[in-house]
Amino acid sequence: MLWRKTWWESRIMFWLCLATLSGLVVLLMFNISSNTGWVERLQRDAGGWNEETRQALPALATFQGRVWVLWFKLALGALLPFVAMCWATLAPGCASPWTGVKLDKDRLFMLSLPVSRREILLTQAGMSCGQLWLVAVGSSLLLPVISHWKGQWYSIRDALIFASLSFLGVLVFYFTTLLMMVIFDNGIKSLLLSMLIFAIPFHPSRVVESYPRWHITRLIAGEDYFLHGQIPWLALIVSLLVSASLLYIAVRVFERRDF
Amino acid sequence: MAEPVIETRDLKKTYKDVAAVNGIDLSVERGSIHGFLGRNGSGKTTTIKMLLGLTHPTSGEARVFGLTPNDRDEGVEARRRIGFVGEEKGTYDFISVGRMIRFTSSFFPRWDREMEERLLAKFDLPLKQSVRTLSKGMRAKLALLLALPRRADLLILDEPTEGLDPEITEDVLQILVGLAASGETTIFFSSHRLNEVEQIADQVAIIDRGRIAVLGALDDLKDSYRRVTAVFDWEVPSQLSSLAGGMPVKSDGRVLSVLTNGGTDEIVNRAYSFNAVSVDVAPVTLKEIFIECKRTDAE
Amino acid sequence: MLIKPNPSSGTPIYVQLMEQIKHAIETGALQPGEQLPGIRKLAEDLVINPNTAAKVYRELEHEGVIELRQGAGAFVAERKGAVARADILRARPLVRSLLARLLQLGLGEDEIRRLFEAELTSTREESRTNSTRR
Repeated sequence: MLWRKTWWESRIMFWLCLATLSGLVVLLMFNISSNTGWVERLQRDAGGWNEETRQALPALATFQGRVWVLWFKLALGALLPFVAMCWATLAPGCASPWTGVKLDKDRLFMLSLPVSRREILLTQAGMSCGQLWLVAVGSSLLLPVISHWKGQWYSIRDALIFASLSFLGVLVFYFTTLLMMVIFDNGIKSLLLSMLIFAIPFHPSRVVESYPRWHITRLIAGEDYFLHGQIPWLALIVSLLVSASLLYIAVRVFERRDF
Repeated sequence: MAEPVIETRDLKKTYKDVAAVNGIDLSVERGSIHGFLGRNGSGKTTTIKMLLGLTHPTSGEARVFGLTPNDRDEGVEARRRIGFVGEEKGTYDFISVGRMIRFTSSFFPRWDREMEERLLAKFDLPLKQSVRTLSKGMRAKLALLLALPRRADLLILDEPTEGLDPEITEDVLQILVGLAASGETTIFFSSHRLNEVEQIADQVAIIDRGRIAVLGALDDLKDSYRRVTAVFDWEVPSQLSSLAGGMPVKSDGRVLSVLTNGGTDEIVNRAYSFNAVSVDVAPVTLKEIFIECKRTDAE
Repeated sequence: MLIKPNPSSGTPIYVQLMEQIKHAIETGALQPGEQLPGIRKLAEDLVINPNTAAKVYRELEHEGVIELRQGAGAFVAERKGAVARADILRARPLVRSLLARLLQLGLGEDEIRRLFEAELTSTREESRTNSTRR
C-alpha cells in the first residue's frame, strides 16, 4: 500500500508536469518552420560557434536536428533538471516540504507504522524517479506523433532514447536535492542549495557541448547519440553511481534523524 | 515473571544541553493499564517517541517486547504489535476516511474487521469524506479507529479521549477495559483527564522535568498518599514550614497543609508537638497527587 | 444493577463496589446462591480496571460474602446468620440527627463529607492492620 499512497500524493504534480511539458512540445513543434531561414542564420554566425557546433552544422540543419536543438537541448535539457530538483522538495512523506509543520503529523503517523525508514525513503525515490521518467518520455513521445501529423518523420526510438538519457542525466539533480531535504528538512533551502551546486552556465556560443566524456551533461542533451548514434556509457555509469551513493547517504541520514 | 512489555533503564534524551528526558526507569507489565502522566514539556511525549523509534535516545535503554525500537528490523517488528494514537491526531489530509482505513489496515495482518465496522457505526464516520474536512472530534475518533482494530499487544495512547464527547469517551474507555480484560493487550496511556486515569488504570507513573516523580500501583498510591491539615492557634511554626523529604508544604496563616507519601504519622506527631489545635488526615485524589507532586530533590 | 463507582472519591473503587454488593445482599437484591457477573463483564459494564474487579471478588471471598467456584464463577454465599436489615433502618435517624447537629455547628457539606471520608479511611486502615496482624 506504500506505493499506492506515494502515487496518490504525487499524482496531481505528475499530471501537471506531464501536461505542461507536453504543452511545451506542442508549442515548439507548431513553431518549427520548415523553411531554410534557420540554416542560413546558423551558417552566417558560424564564426561565433565552438568547434563542435560548427562541425555539427549539417546535422543541425535537418528537421531532426531542429527538433533536437529546440526540445532536447534547450527545452527539456534546461527544464528537466529543474523539474527534478523541485520534485524532490515537493515529495511529501519523507521530509517536511514548503508547507512545513502541517505535514509533520502525517510523518509521525507514517513513522509509527511498521515500516522501516529505509523503505519509506526508497519507495518515495522509486516512485519519483518513475514519474520523472514518464514525464520525460511521455512528453517527448509527442514529437514523432506531431511530426507525422506535419508530414515529417521523427523516430520513436530516438525520442525514447533521448528522453531516457535526459532522465538518467537529471537523476543526480533529484538525489542531491533529496539529500538536502533529508538533512535540512526545508524545501526552499534545499532547492537553493541544489541550484547553487549545479549552477549551469549557459553558453550562447555552444549548441553542441564539449564537456568531458563522463560528464552528465552529455546525457541530458544526448549529443553523442545525436551526432554519432552512440550512447554515452561512461556518463551513464557515473550518473548511476553518484545517484546511488547520494541515495545511500540520504537513507542513512534519514535513519539517524529524530522526529 | 513474564517479561515486561515496556522496559526502560536510565533512559535519557538531550537536545542541545537541555535534558528533555533525564533518566527514566519504567516497567510496564503485560495486561496492565498503565497511566503515564506529565505536564506539557515534562518529557512525556519524548519518552513515548523513544518507545516508538521516532527518536533516538541519547543514552540508556528502551525496550518494547524485548525489542529495540530504534533498530531497523526490530523496530518494524515492534510497531507491528503496537497501536499508537498520538497527541496530534495526525493522518493524511488529502485522502478519504475509507482510504485511510484501508491504507492503515494493510500494514496489520491481524486487523479486526469486525471491530472496524463496529467502531465505524459507533463513531459515525463518513467513509467518503476527506480527512482534511473532519472536525477535531472526528479526527480523534478516526485516530482511535486506526489504532484499536490492530489487535495490538500494546496500545500507546496519548490523550486518546481528547475532543470526544462524554458518551463516546465512556465507550472508548469501555473498549480499552475490555481489551485489557482479555489479558492479551497492555495499555500505556496518557491523559490530562485524571479522573479517567483514576477510573481504569492500575499502574501510574508521573513524569516531571524529565524524571519519574511518582510510580506505583494506583491503589497503593491512593492508600499511602494523604493530606494532613493542621490548624494552629497562632502562625504556623516556622520549623514546620519545611519538612523532611522536601514535601510540598502550604502554609497559610494558621493553617498548614502537607501532602505526604507514607509520612502521615510523623507529620501528625510533629504538628501536635507544636500544639496544633486540630490535625486532619484525608485521602487524596490522583489529581491532587499530580498537581502537588514535584520530583524530590533528595538525589 | 451496580452503580458506577466514583473514581475520585476518597474511598477506593474496590471498596465502593464491595459495599454495593454487600448492600445488595443485605436488602435481598442479591439472593444467596445467585451468580454474580464475571470479572470481565463486571469490568466492562462499570468501566473499571479488570484487576480492580478481580480484587472486589477476592476481598469479598476473603470476607466470606461470596464464593468463587473454579471455572463456574462468583456466587453469593449462603447466609450464615441474618444481617439485620433493621440496622439500616436504625442507622438513618442517627445519621439525620448527627447531620443536623453538624450543620448547626456551622460545617459545610464538603467539610462533613471530608470528615466522614477521613474517619472511614482510618477505620478501614485500622481494621486492615488488625486483620493482617491476625
